[in-house]
Amino acid sequence: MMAKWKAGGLAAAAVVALLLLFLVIGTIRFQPNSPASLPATAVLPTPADPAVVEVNGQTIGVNAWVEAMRVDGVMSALAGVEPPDAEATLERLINSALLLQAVPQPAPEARAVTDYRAALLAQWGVDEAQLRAALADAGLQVGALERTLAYLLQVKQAQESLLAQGVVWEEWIARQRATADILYHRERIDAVMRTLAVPTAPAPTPTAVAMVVSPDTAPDFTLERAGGGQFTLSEQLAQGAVVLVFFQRCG
Amino acid sequence: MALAVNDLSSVAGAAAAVGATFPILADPQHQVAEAYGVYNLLGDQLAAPAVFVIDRDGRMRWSYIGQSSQDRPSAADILTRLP
Repeated sequence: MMAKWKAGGLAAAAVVALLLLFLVIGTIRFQPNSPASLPATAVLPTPADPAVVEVNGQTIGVNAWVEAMRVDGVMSALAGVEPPDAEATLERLINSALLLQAVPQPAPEARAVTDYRAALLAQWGVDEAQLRAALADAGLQVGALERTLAYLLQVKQAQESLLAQGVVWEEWIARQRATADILYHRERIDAVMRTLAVPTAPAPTPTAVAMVVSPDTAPDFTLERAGGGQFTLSEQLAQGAVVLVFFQRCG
Repeated sequence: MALAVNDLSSVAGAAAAVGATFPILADPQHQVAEAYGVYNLLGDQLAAPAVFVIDRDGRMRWSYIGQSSQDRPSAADILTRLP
């Protein structure tokens, strides 16, 4: 083993392996009563989420789009309707971004999200276990659904406030789109679409999913080191390449 | 789990051989796993076993996403992917 490492001709001093051990703790699970309000992060940019579309400078990222597609898929399946295609989902995100830019809404209370979720489950005639199973099959955690529902509530509030002013939605959004600065990153969109075009089993293979969501540029992060101190990826990269190894758990 | 501990031991041994350091990090809120797109891919609310090779400019040079806890590349294989 050691001989192999040496024989690898490592520009060795420059290489650092980083082992991420996942401590499974209770906070992972959904806690309906914990936060006072939920941030609507469905289309907020993160450094790790390269843009597929920019709407007046607001980023809709690859991860946000893929997550929205998966959530749309789960919700459609539970509702017994055909899911929207990927482009329809992207257009919905663009329209939602335009709407909330024009008519900003506060993040909904956690209680409102919980109630919305309960109402949907009742409407679909499914229970919590079925919901969780459907989310897991789509590679989603409950948090993704919560974010989506919080965002949908904001969009709904914004639409209702427009309608209260006598606005016709279709006309309004058409005008907004005509004047908005909407930049499509076609290459990135096409790359995602090509991945989606590959026939997949109902549960996508992890490799196929990761091809979509793994960023080209490594997201920076800072985490606590076992034994004390902090580790920041960008600081480590200044010293050379990094091998990042994710382990499922350390128990 | 023992498998992780064993992996750590073997990697740490190799690390010692080349004089590298191997920080061990905890990501209890799984924000890094999510940022790298490997969280809950197996529907277990854990990170999928995964390896990313990142060059000094921060570009992803190679990645491997395992489809089960046993599905991960060997250390020798990873070495061939280094920039």
